[in-house]
Amino acid sequence: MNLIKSYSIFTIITSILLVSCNNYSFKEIENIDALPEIFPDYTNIVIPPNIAPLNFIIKEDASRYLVKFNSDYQFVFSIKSKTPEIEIPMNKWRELMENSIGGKIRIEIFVRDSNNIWKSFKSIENMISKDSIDPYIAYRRINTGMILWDDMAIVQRNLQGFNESDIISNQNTKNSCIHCHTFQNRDPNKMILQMRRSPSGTLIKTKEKTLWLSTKTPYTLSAFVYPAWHPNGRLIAFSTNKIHQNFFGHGSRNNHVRDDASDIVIYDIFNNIVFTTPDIATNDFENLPAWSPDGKYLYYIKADQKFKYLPDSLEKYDLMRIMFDQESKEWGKPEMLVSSEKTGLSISFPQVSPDGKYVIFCMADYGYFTINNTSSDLYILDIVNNTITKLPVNSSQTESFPSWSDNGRWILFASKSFDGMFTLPFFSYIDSTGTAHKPFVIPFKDPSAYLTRMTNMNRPVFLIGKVNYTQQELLEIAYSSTEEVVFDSINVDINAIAGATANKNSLDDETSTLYKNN
Amino acid sequence: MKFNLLQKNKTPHFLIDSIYYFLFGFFFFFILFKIYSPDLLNLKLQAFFAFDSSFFDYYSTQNNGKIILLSNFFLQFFYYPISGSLLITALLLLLALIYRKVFELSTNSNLKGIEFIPAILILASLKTYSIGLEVLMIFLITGLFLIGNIMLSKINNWIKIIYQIVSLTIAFFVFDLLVSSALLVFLLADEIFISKSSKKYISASIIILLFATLTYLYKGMQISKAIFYEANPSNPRMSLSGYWSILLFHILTIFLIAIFSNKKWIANFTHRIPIFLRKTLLIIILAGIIAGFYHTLFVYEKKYNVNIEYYASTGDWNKVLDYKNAVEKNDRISIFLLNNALYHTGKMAKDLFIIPQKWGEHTLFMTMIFNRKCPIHSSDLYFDMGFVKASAYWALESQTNHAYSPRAITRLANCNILLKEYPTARKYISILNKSLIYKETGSKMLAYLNDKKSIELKNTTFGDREIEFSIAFINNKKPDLNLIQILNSDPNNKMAFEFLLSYHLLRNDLGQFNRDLKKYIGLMNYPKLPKLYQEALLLYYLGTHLPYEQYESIIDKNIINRLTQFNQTYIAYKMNARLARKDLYRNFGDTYWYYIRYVSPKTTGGNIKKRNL
Repeated sequence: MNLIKSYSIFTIITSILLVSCNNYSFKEIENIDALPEIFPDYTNIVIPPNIAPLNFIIKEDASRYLVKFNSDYQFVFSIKSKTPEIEIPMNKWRELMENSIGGKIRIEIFVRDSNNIWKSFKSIENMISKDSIDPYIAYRRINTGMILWDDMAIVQRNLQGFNESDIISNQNTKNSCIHCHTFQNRDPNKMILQMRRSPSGTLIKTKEKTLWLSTKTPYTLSAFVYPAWHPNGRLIAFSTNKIHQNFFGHGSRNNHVRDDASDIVIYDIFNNIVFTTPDIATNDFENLPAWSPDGKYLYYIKADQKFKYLPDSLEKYDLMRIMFDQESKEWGKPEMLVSSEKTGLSISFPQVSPDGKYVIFCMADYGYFTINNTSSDLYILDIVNNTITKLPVNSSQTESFPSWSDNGRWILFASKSFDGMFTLPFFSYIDSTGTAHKPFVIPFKDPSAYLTRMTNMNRPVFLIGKVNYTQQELLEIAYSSTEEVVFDSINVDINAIAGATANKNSLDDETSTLYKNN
Repeated sequence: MKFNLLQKNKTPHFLIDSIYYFLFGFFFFFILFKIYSPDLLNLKLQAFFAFDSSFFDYYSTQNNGKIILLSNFFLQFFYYPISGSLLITALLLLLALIYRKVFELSTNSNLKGIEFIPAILILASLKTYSIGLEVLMIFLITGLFLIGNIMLSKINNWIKIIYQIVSLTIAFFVFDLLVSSALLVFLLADEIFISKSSKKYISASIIILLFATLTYLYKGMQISKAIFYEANPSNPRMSLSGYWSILLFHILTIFLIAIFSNKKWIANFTHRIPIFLRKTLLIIILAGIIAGFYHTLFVYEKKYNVNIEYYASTGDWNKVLDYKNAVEKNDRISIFLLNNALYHTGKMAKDLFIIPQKWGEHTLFMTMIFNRKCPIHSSDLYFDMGFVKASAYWALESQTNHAYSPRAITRLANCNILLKEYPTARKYISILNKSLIYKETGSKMLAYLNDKKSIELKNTTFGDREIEFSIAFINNKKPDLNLIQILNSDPNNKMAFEFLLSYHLLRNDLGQFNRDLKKYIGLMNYPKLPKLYQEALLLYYLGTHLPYEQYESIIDKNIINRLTQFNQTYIAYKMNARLARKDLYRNFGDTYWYYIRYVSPKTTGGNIKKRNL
């Protein structure tokens, strides 16, 4: 009896194996001299060796799919599937990456059509870089509304896997607006968050210091807006802006954000003092600060004040920089790096590479807040040779908000290239000559999620580790009393600060603090 | 010996039980299908369920997202009222079965009828309109956990304690705070009121400690905050009358019954009553609870609002107008929809003031001041008007309230097809295609997109009218400027015309009314100047001292006579507006003159602010 039972089980298993082998065995193959269409497009790209599996969908109608993964010409593993969604097992992907560092991976795709004929395509070949990518990114999860918001969070995503978690969600802050997350040199322990609507303020959190600030002063246009943390960890440049937005009544764009005025100020986190220099707080519009990695230059964009009275479509920003000596606190004179008059385009979101050689930025037909501007593309400025190159990462849709990885070999940017509406993070390899390679989208566990995800992954930035502050820790800060920042008005020509409402003489002298004396 | 409200029947009465369940099932179905259906159908406008990982991910980031997901899954079936009603009836009966077991195990009795109380309370609580089926889901899940708890308590108290720890931990990690805190309260109530174990206080202390630890470690909350998290007044999305007040009410009711069922004096008292009478009494008590609960929670204004929203969304404008006398004067959205109904039934230029217009122009457009509920209606309005870009814009804003609102997604897919933003349209269609209910809609749209000829034809949805108006920016603060630009691009746009003139009237701006009337009325093909326009013009002419001969051909004699009567009535009350009001309302309540004298916020000094919404 037992023998019969064992035999039966053996027969069943063998049959199943035979049938399953039969499904994926083929004597005749039709060779197609083209690459298979896969989504997302992970073909001819440079891949970081430590990234999560790049799962994809095969866009070929078929009843069976077979994908073989090879390290150079050595077979590593294969995936058989009845559906076009290919989800690569993590351990096999790791093995593939480890075997291929500095070399290539070759992906062979076979599909069986409705006539039971197998087709093979040209192999997809991707380079595996020796340069790893930062293990985390932080981004702002937000819906597509432009006035209202309900669900919003600053989120961290592990790039080596698929896990993500909320650093802070506005579901726990009475649905307040949480924005402008910034980290000093991609350090997850040094973080800035800003909140609007109660609880509102600027949160600066490091292992040593916690600040929850009320940042509007009588001298400044507004509370702090766009931040850039100085490499010394002590100073943070912020723009102050009077912002408004319009909503297009026709065409493909949705909104246009513009400023009525803007300045740049510097905040000293140890002395709670805000200071500036007349050259970056003029009646022109200085905005979007970014420090050079050595901290000697403050890069920013600037538009002439005349644009305030001209149609939106004429408003163009130049790329500027100004020298700053952190020891003497002396400022140099502003220098124009890229003139919008020459390029005919408006510059925004400059970011300096970790080696200080390049600046990557957006250029669009007008304006600076280009995250909804389809004309916005990424460019790179070689500072030494003073040459500008349009990066081969752009699409017909919006590309914006670029940033650099810690080793300067990867750039991360926000793109709406998939559908024109929702923003996703994309990566591109930048080699030692400053040349960018074909971009690829952040991998999702389920590759069909790109088609249905209903939230934006805005303002993505690299992180060299995980943010370990708990949400409760941050919430407790947000619900405590804010500390008011003090503006150093002695060294500044107040009249130069656009939109300043206070008369210097009318202010209590005790509130004016000489920055240099501190 | 145990004493019970109803003596335990030793022999199984399968037939009687079946009849009970059938009757209650019929009752539930009747209430759901006949009374609740339109209301729940309206809720379905917001209920969406997609078999899609990004959809699940989205809800997993929401507080109590999994319970909302479950609730939405069942609610979506109300798209077809009969299927939704049957499904929820089945769930309510399942709940009754679960609580039957709970009562049997905790009281050692067969309390026929009482097991239906939670289901009845849940059915009644649907009348608050502020919740979906989340409470039902919570009761089902916690009920199942509770059965295990009570069964194990009969075996070994230590095993029960382990079970409580495991079940509470699972509830916390799988279903989040709402289910785990409800389970905690259920377990505590069981320990305190029912359990006769000597270790019951140890057991209660352990689960409190466990819950406090979990909430502190993983939510960073103190236990009190965690338990009442959803009833936190600082959370604008959930009021105190939300989930927790209902849950607590239910929990208390259940355990009061459980306690009473074990009281000797009640059992002694009820034992003398014949079994038939006892059952009849029980049903009367149940009916009383239902009636009381129904009466307490029933808010007619809210029901009207829900029905108006539903009929407006289906374009059944005559049914919307049926509520014109029932609607509450402060119900801004209902009045907005009634105004829309007036236009769609061709009555706007005649009957605008049969609707309470105390909000002035703010019930004609909800773009100047708005809250989260307004955007989808503004999207509808502009879509009907053919201003597709503005419709898409407001649909995007509406998604802030509910990212996966099928109404918003469908609208956005439609708008993007019309705007020729095909990749964006495909995105929304992909989402619709992941839903059981909206798959067909998505497939039809996809067929349009895949057939280029159809795409061209699709633009004829609006006939020969323009849909790409040359409007630089949408003006939310001054919607009349949008309407003027629409009319400049599309002079036949009657909806834009009537809304423009109504806007001027509601703002008491007769000068602008006169100018725009003259400018655009030429192409509107009215057989004669509509009544309201005559009333307003007459007032304007009198104000500008225009000689009668110059407008006698424009204004009907009857209108002139009516204004004379209006003035005479006013004079009869010695120009005392307060005293004359009643009489004037009776005879002239539907006239522009009455509006401008008594109703207009500009006249009354009514201050419309965001907090009024």
